[in-house]
Amino acid sequence: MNRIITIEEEVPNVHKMVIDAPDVAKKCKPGHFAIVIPDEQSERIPLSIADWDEDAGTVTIYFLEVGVSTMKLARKVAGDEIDMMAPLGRESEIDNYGTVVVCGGCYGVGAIYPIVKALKEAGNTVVTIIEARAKYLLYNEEVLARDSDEIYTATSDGSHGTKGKAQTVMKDLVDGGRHFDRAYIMGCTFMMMRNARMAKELGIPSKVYLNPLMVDATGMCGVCRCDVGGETKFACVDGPEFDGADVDWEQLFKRSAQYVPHQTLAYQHKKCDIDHCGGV
Amino acid sequence: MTARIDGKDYDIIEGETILDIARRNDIYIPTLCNHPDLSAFGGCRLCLVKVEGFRAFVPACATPVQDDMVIETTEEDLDDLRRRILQLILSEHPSACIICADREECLDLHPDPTKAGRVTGCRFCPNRNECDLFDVVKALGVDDIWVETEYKDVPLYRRDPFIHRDYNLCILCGRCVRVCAEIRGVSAIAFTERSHDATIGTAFQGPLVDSSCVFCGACEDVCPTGSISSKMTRWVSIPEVTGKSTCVMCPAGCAMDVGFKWGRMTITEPSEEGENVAQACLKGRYCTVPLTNSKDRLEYPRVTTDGVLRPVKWETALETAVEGLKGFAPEEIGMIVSPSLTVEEAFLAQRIMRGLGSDNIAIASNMAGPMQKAWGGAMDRVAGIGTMTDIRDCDAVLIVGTDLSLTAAVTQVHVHAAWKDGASVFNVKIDPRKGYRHADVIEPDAYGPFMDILLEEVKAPGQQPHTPDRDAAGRIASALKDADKTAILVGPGAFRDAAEGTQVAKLALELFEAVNGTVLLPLWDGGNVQGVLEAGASRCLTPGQCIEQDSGKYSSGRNPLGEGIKALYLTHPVPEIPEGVEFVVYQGPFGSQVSERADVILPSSMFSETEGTVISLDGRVGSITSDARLPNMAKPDWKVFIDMGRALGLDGFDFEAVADITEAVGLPLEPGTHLPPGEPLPEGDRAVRVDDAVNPVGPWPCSATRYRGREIAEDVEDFLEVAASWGWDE
Ligand SMILES: Cc1cc2nc3c(=O)[nH]c(=O)nc-3n(C[C@H](O)[C@H](O)[C@H](O)COP(=O)(O)OP(=O)(O)OC[C@H]3O[C@@H](n4cnc5c(N)ncnc54)[C@H](O)[C@@H]3O)c2cc1C
Ligand code: SF4
Ligand code: SF4
Ligand code: FES
Ligand code: FES
Repeated sequence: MNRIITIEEEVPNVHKMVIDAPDVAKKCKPGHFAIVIPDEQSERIPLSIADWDEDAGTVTIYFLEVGVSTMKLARKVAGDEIDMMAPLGRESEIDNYGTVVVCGGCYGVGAIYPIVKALKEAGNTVVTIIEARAKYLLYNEEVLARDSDEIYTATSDGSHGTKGKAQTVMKDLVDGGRHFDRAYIMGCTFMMMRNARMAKELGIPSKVYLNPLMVDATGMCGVCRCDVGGETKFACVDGPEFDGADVDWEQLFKRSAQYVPHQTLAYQHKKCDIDHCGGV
Repeated sequence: MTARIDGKDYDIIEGETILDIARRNDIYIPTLCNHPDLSAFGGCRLCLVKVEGFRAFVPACATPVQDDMVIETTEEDLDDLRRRILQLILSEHPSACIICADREECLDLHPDPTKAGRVTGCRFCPNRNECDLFDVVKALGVDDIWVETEYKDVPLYRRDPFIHRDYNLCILCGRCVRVCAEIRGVSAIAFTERSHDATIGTAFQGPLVDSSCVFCGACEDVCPTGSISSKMTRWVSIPEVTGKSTCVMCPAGCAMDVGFKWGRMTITEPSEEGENVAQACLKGRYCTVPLTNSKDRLEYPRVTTDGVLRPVKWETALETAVEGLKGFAPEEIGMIVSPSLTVEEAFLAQRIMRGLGSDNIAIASNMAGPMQKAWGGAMDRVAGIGTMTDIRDCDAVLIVGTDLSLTAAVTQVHVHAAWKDGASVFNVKIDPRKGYRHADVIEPDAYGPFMDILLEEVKAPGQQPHTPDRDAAGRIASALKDADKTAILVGPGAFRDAAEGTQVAKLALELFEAVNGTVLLPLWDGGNVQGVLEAGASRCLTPGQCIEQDSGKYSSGRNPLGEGIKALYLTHPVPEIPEGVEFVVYQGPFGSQVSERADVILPSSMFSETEGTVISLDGRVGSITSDARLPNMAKPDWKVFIDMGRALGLDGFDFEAVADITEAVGLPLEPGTHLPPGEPLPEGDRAVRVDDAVNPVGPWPCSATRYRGREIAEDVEDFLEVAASWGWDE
């Protein structure tokens, strides 16, 4: 069991959680994720490790409330305990490529931070673009700015930065004469798909962090199957980092929709014991 | 009288607004705060129109149309103004998805809303497939917001039972406040002030459960945004299959729009088409779906071998039942008919018993027996007089033996309409439970003696010495006599004791005749008691409530839970299996403490999974449709009865579809129509048509908190919370 040190709603529906996990903090690398189990009756959910502090023995996670398990997690308070298995997944491919563009959306705005930091440390010129639907949903800008050479923001409603998405800014920059050697993209599936497509169009090799459903996260169950470059990959052990141009996005959406009935009907029967916020 | 709108002349109906006449003639005027069932509010200003001779634009929803008015609804400057007003509304709403360039692709790829805690855009919104706000956005072509957008950041209300509230989406149209006060007569929510911002809420922003809220869901139904949603079904989004059905959780028979998705029932919403005028109660609106999808359903036929109930094939279960039942003489077999069955199912049930040669059939209802006894002799059929909607025109309403909180709750909507028109409303009840707030509540020690006093005060007022009960009775008596039209509703609370129930039912009928009443309705303790009676599924009755006791056709008309019964066919749980019973067949959707003791279990349907007809407390014929997949091997009750009838080798079971059974019942079961009322017989013709053979069996546990004997709270914890807070937790 791991104790939650702090937990707060960073912006509406995005929660930041700092967890006491000294052993994990020692072993974390950019690209790693954790399996979190909010309580005994909960499913195991994968969440990216957004930061760690070896000295303090903590790891940081940003998560969106999107279903029963994350709902339960969001109702936790500092001092509560959760189960966590980490680090999992393959380390991110980081080198000195020259100029890289890093795109973050939804939980990825928080979780892309170790990659920004590592790219910077490797000697890259790092251009970071973060997106949100509106100004009030943007967070972490200052933290990312510290390790980025440049930072841009985009909002769907134009309330902050460019009106549009991260890919809008990426395109604007390239159209304006910028060259990027690589793109790193993290966020919800839709955001990653749109940005990976844009990167491909602009001729930039991209890395994305796939987020299919997972069960065991040790390559055994096959639930996290994805099609990448015509091959079947297990996101938990072969990823979650993959080449964005090779991902079969349609398949990914289809697979995640498969469990929607089950996840949605769960609200009729599962109840969050903490404050009855869920179903019956 | 005519008015000219956009250059064309239209006839005016007296008293209508500019919006009414426009709607009637399919002229589009954008609206948000207006709702056709509610009073005009004039708050959102989207419906502004230009009227010749008026200096400023006027709100169409709140301006009566006058003869010769010249109205413009479509000029460019008007649309510009409306767009700016709408943009202001959107700036305080999570509007990013509304104006996002990727909206369509994003929503296509996420066909169901993401189950977020806070809704920060349409993709996350439970309302997104039926959003009035977005409809107006589309109609006005808004794709930009010129003012800075802001998230209100007010707390979510997610701890209440059934209802989730997120006022960050609220546009302050006040529809919820008005429906709660005007239609439901509850006024649980109002505009309130939080620091400097207006918002909606209960007094002191407390939980709904501590307010006067009745969890009817009317606010959710009229809200144009996703601010108010059902906790259990808010993420299910639009159903794949929809249908028209009827609720059987209580005898009001509300017409419901039902939805199915993924082979399951996912939503029930009150329909415009019934007498329930698009209203329902917490049982129909919020409990039917989780009850249907309960994890605790009977799913497999079972047979007891070596003392253990083991799953078997249907054939085996039926064979075992047949073998068991045939081992007894007809007069040793008894049947309990559930008042939650459809007319067709009840018809088949009695046909099985009569086919076996037994008339030992009773309805699992405390009211059916006493009512047959009290009204059966004085009326041509045991049935109410007048309809629920007739209550609206009454000047005095007397409710006895219930408070309308969990039995026929929707009738309160009609009672409130009458009250708004000046009717006096009296509620005679014993249990101190939540009731209609505008009623004059009288809490006597017992119903029977009070009804006696009341009748005395009607016939010979003021002759007896004052007592509190007598004074109250005097008040009611003079109101009933003064009224042009009166309604008398008799509910299950008065029937917990059969003798007292019979007395109360008799006195209610006498009272009705003494005051020359208009509406007299039995608020049955079961969803389809009326229909089961009409189906003839009770001793001595045949379909159409014809009396058969003297025909000599049947071996006996015993109490199926009384002496001499050795085999029981249950379609409803009984409080306990009587001593002497050797063989039990239990058919139903849920187990109970007695199903544990059954020799054969036949898993069947909830009303939400079957087809057929039900009859409401005022004789309205409702039809039931479904597209739900039953759990595992369970079958609709009508199919089980057909299989059983055939397995028993009985005649009259070669039906293929429910419609064939409906026809065989032989009654005018046209959905939406009313069966004839129970006409009082002329004085001279009265005869005791039902003798003591129709002694009630029971007493049955309270039906208000149960469906087919199953405590709703077992599957719907939120129901427990509400019911307990209203005093229903005995
Ligand atoms: C390697 C990996 C890393 C991840 N990192 C994070 C992270 O750092 N923060 C975070 O919030 N989530 C992250 N996710 C996604 C996260 O695991 C899911 O959101 C979570 O499992 C949902 O569980 P639930 O029971 O709350 O919702 P469920 O009821 O299981 O699912 C809710 C709905 O949301 C959909 N959904 C699933 N994932 C997402 C998503 N990411 N965005 C939008 N919709 C989604 C599902 O298809 C489903 O319809 C990651 C996933 C993987 C595989
Ligand atoms: S109420 Fe919901 S669906 Fe309608 S505009 Fe707002 S967020 Fe979108
Ligand atoms: S909660 Fe809904 S119905 Fe009530 S005022 Fe707000 S938007 Fe209108
Ligand atoms: S989660 Fe089971 S194989 Fe990846
Ligand atoms: S609809 Fe007329 S002011 Fe809102």
